[in-house]
Amino acid sequence: MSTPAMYSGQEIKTFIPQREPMMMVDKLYSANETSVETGLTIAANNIFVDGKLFSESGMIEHIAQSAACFAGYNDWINKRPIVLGYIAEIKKFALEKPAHVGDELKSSLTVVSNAMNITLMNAETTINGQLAASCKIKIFMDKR
Amino acid sequence: MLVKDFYAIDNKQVQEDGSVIYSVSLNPGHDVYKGHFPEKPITPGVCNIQMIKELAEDAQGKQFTLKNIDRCRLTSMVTPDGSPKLDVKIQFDAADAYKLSATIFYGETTFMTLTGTLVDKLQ
Repeated sequence: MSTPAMYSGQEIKTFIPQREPMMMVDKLYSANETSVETGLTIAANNIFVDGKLFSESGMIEHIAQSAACFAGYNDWINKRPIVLGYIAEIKKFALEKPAHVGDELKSSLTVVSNAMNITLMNAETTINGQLAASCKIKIFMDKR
Repeated sequence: MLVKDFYAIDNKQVQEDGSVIYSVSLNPGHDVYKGHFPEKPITPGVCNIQMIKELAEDAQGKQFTLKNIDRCRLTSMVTPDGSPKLDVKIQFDAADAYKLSATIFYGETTFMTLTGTLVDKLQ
């Protein structure tokens, strides 16, 4: 993922309903019907930062909003309105390496199953190419 | 508390089985709700996960990282207006004090269940 992001910063607001101080994605590298690649550079004033350390709860929120980005991008490209999505379930979350201020998280999520308003995705987050966290996340989308 | 003033602990009760039940109040005026979501304040699930970890830290008097989550189910939505008071049950495995199970509930409603593994706080 050394290619530049397709969308970054404020442009991400096109795809996700979260706003400051709860925006945990700042780059969209790629997206299609079955996967998404996102990024987040951890700022010193990020709400999930304590000292230099980015909490595991922030990491999970970044993954959840990456899933929101996946849904939002596909809604946007199909000219549907962006809807709110919520975490329904997290399984097998593993934090391999804590993240710190200045790190760039890069996340890759792929759809495992998609039925009605519930999407299950596999997620992997890396920092400098090294695995930082992984999980399976189930997202529930508001009715369109 | 990582997200400052996100909640307040009103009460702490150690049960006979060793588990601890915390009663907490959410802060509906918190900045988090400006962004989650602008027209519909909903308590982020990850803030409840963060709260569970912090209450586990309080219960044991040490700092942790929640390194693994086996399963976390969000069964009802928490809103600062609709569910401003929550009870949180924190239980550690009798054989392994790093194995955590937690439930966020109020009255008859269960909001979240979590099972996971803590480690001493990673830096």
